[in-house]
Amino acid sequence: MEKLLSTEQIKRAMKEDSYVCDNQLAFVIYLSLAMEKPLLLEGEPGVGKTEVAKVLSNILDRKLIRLQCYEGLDATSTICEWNYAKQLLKIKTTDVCGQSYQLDDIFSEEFLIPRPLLMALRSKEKVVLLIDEIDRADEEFEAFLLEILSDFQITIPEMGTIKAVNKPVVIITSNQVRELHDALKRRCLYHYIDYPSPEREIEIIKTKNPAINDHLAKKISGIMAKLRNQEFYKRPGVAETLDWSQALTILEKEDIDEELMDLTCGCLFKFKEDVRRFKDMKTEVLMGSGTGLEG
Amino acid sequence: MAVKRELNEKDYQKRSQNLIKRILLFANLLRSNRVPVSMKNELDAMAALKYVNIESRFEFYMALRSTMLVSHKYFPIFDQLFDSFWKTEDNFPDTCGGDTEDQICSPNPETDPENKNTAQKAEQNETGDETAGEIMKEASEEEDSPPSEETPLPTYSLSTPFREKDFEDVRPEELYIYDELFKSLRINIKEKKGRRFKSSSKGKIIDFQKSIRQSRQKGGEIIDIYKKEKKPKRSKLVLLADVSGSMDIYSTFLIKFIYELQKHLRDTETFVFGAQLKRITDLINYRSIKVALSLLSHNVLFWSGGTNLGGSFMQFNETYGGKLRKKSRILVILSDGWDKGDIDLLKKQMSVFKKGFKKIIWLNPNLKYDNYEPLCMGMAAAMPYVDYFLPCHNLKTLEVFVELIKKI
Repeated sequence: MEKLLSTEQIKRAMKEDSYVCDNQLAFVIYLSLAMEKPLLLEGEPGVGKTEVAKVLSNILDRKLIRLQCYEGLDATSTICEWNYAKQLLKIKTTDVCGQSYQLDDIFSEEFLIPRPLLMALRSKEKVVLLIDEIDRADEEFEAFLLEILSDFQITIPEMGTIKAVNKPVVIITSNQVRELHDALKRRCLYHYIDYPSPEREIEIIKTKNPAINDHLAKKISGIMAKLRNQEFYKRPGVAETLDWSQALTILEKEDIDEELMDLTCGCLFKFKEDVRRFKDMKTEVLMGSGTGLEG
Repeated sequence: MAVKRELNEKDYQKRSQNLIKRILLFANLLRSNRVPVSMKNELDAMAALKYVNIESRFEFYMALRSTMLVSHKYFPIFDQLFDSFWKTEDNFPDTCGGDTEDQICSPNPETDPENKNTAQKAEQNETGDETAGEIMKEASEEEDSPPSEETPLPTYSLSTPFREKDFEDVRPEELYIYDELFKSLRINIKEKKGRRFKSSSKGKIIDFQKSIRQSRQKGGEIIDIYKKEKKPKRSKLVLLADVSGSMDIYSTFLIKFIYELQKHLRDTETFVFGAQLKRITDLINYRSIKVALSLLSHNVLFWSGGTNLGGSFMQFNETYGGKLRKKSRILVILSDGWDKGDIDLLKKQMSVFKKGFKKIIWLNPNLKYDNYEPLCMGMAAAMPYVDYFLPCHNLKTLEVFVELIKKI
């Protein structure tokens, strides 16, 4: 059995992989690894939920298997499919050659195309399974996941029950588009990723974008903190912060002024109404934004 | 990171048993404050303690929080209860769990002293004054004792007069009956089927096109028969509720109604307005109405103030309109139409609504008077744009409204 990482080690390793995480998140990850329980991450869009799984697969040196959920996703497309074309060819060739065949022959491993969930369970090496944006999938699919999440096994009618060779590390993310069912939540550890504090945001900007100068990073985080206090339809997340800081670096700007905010507002807001509100309040936001930390 | 203690075996066992009991008590305390904690959560919490250093407050806190809670909505109340329940012994005052006088923490005044007692007892237990068995026994006795004699349970025969009773005449002691009655409203709208199809494994109609198209991949042999069914047509609601002074009597009931609506209808967006407008969809998205109500009173500062219909509607159109104004949505306005704002502005906003939404329903409590005519300026200005004008002064009229949105 591989050695368990401590909370501090996880935090440090993630930092090295340019993901700045706080103590709480690092601890929940530690706990989920120790208890071998799935981890459910909720939070506003763009706070780095999916990134956790990616970084985790890196630091644990395990393969990442990703299942992106969408409306109408069903069990067959996530477990396995039969390779019909190959099965038909097999039948025809045996016919032509005059050989006889058993029905079981064409429902064997050879004709099975494994999909993410089956791949994760049958994998010889340990993997990280990311079930992304589960709130987009239908409730039926959520119910289907219960067996995997609690017992790490799935039941396929043609093949019986398949148990996990190695229990995968499971990370589930949700944007709270809809409320998840309690049964699913009970099977997971729960953590809510909030917007980062200004201090941590500066650290994130610098980690992801080393070229940026201190003053600018401080100013960006100050403005973001102010914007997140306002009523917007979609508040800018960390992803938007990083886009913006990258844009400013590309433009080789040393400071932020109103004109620049007008030009780059597309990095921060994606709705017409939000953009207009932002333009209305930019003077107010810009004033004293450098003092975001002290305030 | 297993906990290593220099204790003899017996002492160690006793301590760990005490800890388990305290965790159970803590889970009970959470439950009595309407935080859903299941038995599975409790077991997980205990399992998690194997891996943490329980002498570190942070690790202990995170272990309980991540295993016991299922939503971040409960973080604040969890923090509050955790702080008061798991105080360290040296700064531990007489009361425990009871010094939180916040409304969220003690939704029911009857249960609060009980919490105090259980928590206190638990603490005594730690110091070894009482045996653990006695504590558990007493705690369970307290829970078993009937809450009070004077609260009769609502029965069906009672509900009929209450259904037709004006909200205005409801006495405070009758309020609890309404909580039950609101729950029994048949809001669960069966989704209407539209004219378009979607593929579905449960469908009854064979999707020939898809079956044949898919068969081409397999050398023209139809192996899978794909089916389809009619695509459901969902009516989504946008609710704008007036909480100004003139609606005072009704707003408590209407908010409860809105709470139930939002619980059952997916994608309902809710706003309250008075002098200005505020989105409360997230605030009332709670499992407990009491938590939702107290959150509302903390966050909506213009409650019982003046009304500015035009201004509030403009704020809606400018901030949320682009996203929410759709032909698939029905706009529901709950207001008596008393307005102190600009009438032309109101007309303009109503015409924007009319173009954008599928239907506009206006619920007005004053419609209960037989000879009511929409004479006050706001109402008169808005009338031409309204598709359905309904009363909302008692439960029966709300049922009519629910039936209506099932049909639209």
